[in-house]
Amino acid sequence: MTVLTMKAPAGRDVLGKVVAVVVLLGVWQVAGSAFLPDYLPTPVGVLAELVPTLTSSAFLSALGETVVAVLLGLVLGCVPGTAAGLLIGRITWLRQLSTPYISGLYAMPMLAIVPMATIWFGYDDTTRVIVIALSAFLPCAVSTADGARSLPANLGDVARVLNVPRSRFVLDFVLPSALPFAVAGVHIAVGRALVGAAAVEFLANLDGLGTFILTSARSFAQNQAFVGVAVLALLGVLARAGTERLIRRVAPWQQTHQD
Amino acid sequence: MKRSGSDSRPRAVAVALAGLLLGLIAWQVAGERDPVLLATPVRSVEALAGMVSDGTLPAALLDTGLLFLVGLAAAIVGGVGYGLVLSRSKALRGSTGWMVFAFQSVPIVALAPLILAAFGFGFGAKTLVVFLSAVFPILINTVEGAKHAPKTLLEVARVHRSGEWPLWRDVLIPHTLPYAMSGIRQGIAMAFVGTFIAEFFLQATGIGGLLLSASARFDSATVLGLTVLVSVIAALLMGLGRRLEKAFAPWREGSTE
Repeated sequence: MTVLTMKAPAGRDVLGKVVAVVVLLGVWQVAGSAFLPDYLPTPVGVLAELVPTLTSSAFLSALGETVVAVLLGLVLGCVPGTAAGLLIGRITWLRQLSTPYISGLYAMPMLAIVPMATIWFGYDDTTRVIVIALSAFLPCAVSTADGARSLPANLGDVARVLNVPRSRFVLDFVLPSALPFAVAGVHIAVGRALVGAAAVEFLANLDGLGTFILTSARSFAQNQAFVGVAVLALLGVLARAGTERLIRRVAPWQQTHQD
Repeated sequence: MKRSGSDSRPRAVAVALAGLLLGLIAWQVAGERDPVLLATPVRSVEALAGMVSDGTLPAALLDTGLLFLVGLAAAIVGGVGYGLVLSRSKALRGSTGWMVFAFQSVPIVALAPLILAAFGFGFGAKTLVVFLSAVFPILINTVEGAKHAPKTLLEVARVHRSGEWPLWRDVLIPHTLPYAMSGIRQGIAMAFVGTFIAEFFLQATGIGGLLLSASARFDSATVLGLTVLVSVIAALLMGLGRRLEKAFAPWREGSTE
């Protein structure tokens, strides 16, 4: 922030990053092996475990289970969520009627719903897909409703003056203004879906990446567990980068929601 | 910008209340049809009242509240503090700024088994989970806010040989606070999530512990009651966060940059 100092040459920045990484990894390695050997993953250990873990069949099948469940849940959550958001955004009484439910559920950590879901749907795959779908439904509905409402009032007046038929009004006015918000909803939904999947897998002991991490950590394969965590994080980053690009495509002026 | 779908306030509240009442009636009717899976609201309220009178619910609320507050406080101190330090040190910002974004994308739920294995399930380990959940939005928003501290003011302070502490007190902190506040709003929500992660996956205490044990014995009345309670608390916390953020927003807009 100090304007008076001269701009640092780019080389120093790269050097700083390298130093920071080396220091961090070094401290982690030393602290991990000195104080908590076998209890904490270490950089060297993770590196050694990386390829064997990524190619093991247990990991690959767990990854497949989670990814399929997340994709299914996202579709089952985002499609109705976006539709509900459009309705809630445009129909006043419906919005008022549903506000307590939507805001109550939206604020709530989806984790807290898992105990109820396991009673209702059992300790199986149904629960996982339903929790993921619900985690995805809410941000999609809330964000799309925001978008559908954000249509400027004078555009609505213009449509009325020009006698635009209702179907054209929805297609040409509401949808374009809601679209970037709908994508932003999916953007938030992806992150929540991955977290929801891991949480259900922990609690219901379902095959998947979450359980892979849990069983590895329990059997003192901490480095292997860490590889699982990193892959889960990477999945989130990749998915969010994808939706972010999509937002920039459909609405270059839109800022992505942070949540 | 005026929105096309604007509500009239009293009517909105009335319809919302009607919606809640409808939901309660539907819940009661459905619960009477299938009493095993779906407890009626009356039975849920009875279950909650029973836990209040034998003291388990207040004790659990206290447990959960303490964990939430300590973790959130640590996240605010750490997030705002390190955010301000980053804003003053170009070297630190260049070298560690990007790492913040990398760490932020690690799902804390997935880290829970590793934290459990390494640090156990004491209060410290649980606080660590809450802290990690909440610190990144606070940190990122603080850094963002410090970027918006007016350069001219910083230059004037420098020209007048201002010390580091007056510079923070008079320029940096006042201009960063509104941004930090929106980070803290997000942090409140994340800390609440973190509290449940800690209570579900580290040690079954507090509200999370009650939820798990009730779920394990298929006590749907207790689970439903607690779930509704959690969602009410979450909505209240979110409202509180928005209030906090709003309380600092007008000031930000009023200042001339």
